[in-house]
Amino acid sequence: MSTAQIGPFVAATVSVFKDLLDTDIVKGQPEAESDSFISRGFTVLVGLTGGWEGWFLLDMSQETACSLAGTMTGEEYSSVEEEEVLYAGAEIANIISGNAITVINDAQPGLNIRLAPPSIFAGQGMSMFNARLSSSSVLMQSNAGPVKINVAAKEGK
Amino acid sequence: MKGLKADGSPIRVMAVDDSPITRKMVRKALEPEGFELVAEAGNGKEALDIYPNILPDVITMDVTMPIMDGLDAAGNIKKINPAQRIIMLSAMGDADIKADAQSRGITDFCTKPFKPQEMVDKVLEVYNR
Amino acid sequence: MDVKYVNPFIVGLQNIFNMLNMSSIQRTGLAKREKLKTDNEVNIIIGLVGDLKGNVVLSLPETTAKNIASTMMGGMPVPELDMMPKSALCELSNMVAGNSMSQLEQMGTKVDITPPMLINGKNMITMISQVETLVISFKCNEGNLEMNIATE
Repeated sequence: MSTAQIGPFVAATVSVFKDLLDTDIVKGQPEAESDSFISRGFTVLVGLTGGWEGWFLLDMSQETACSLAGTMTGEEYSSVEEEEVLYAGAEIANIISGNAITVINDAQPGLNIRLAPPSIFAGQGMSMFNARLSSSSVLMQSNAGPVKINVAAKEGK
Repeated sequence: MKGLKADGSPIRVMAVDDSPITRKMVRKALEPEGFELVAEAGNGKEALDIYPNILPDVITMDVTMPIMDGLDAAGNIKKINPAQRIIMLSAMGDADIKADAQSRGITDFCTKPFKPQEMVDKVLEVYNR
Repeated sequence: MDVKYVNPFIVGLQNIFNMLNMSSIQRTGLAKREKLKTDNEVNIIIGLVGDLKGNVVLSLPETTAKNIASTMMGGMPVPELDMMPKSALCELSNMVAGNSMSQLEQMGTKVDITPPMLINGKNMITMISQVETLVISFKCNEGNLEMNIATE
C-alpha cells in the first residue's frame, strides 16, 4: 500500500465538498501516518473489506462538523449532540468513500472493495489506533475549517 | 415555480433514504420550487408498505438501504404500478447497478452528491416524460 | 437485528475470553442502546460486510482495558495504554469477531470483517452504523465491558 492509494479519496473529497457543500478545498500532500493520530474532535469511520481491508477516516473539529451539517440542511447546529450533525458527517463520508471505491474498483476489475456502514466518534483527546495497517493522510483546508482524510489498509483477498 | 403542474397543484414526491439528512436535502431542493414532499421512508420495506396509500408522482430512492435495498423496493413497486416514476440515488455509479436496475424497469439515476438544481431538473425530466 | 444473530456474538466473545484465561467472563445484560454518550474510554470497532452489514464495537473503561491487556500479556503491568496493550486489545477484538463469524457461518450466514481500529478518548458521543444498536454487557475479573452490535 503506497500513499498513492489515497488519490481517489482525495479527488472524491474535493468534488463532494464542491458539489454537496459548495466549498472549495485546498488539498495538501499525502503523508505516511504512524499507527495512531489524534482526532480533531469528530471522526467518521468507514470500514473496507474485499480487495482492501482497513478503514477510511474523515476527521475534523466539532465546529467544522456543525458548520458542514448546517450547509447541508440550512439549519444551525451548536453541538455534535444534535443527531443531524452525526447523520450529516456519516452521509459526507458515505458519499466520499462510495465515489472513491467506485473509481478504484472500476480501475481494477475483480478487486471488489466493499464498504461497511459509517460510524461516528466525537469527543476529546481521541486517538485513533490501528495495528499493522499502512496508513496515509491528506490534510485539506475548507471554508469550514481543516479536514483530514486518512486511509489505513492492507491488501485483502 | 417549476414544481407545479399545469393545474397549479404541486408535483408529489416521496423520498426514500436511510439517511435523514439526505431526505432533508431532497426536501430542501424541491420544496422551494413548489414540489410537495408527501412522504418519506427510511428503508425499502417501509417505502413498499406506505406506497399504496401515497401513490406519489415521483419517488427518489437510495440504492443502499437496510432491510430491503432500493433496487428491490423499486422493482417491487414497479410490479404494483409499472408506470411509477422512480429515480435511484446513489453514491456509486457502477455499470453493475445500472444493468441490474434496467432489468427491473428502472432507467433513471441521480448520483450523490446532487446540487439542488440537479434534483429539480431530474424530477421534472422524469415527471414530464 | 434479528435475534438469531445475537447468540453467535455472545458465544464468540465467551469462547475467546475462555481461551485467553479470562474464564470469569459472564454476560450480565442485553438491551437496546438508549443514548449516544458513552463513559467507556476505549472502543474497538470492526466493520461487517456480507449477509450482515454493520459494525461491532467492543467498549470498555480504560481500567478494564489495561487489566485485560495485562492478563493477555502474561500479567505484565500496564501503567498506560500505549502501543503494546492497544495491539493486544485489537487482537482480542479480531479474535472475538473471527470466532463470532465462524458461528454465523455455521448458521449459513457469511460475513467478512474489517481489521480493528481502537479509539481512545474522553466524553465521547458515538453513533455506530446508522441503525439501532444492541448492547450486550459482560463482566469479568478484569472489569466490565460491552459489545455493541449495530447491523442492518
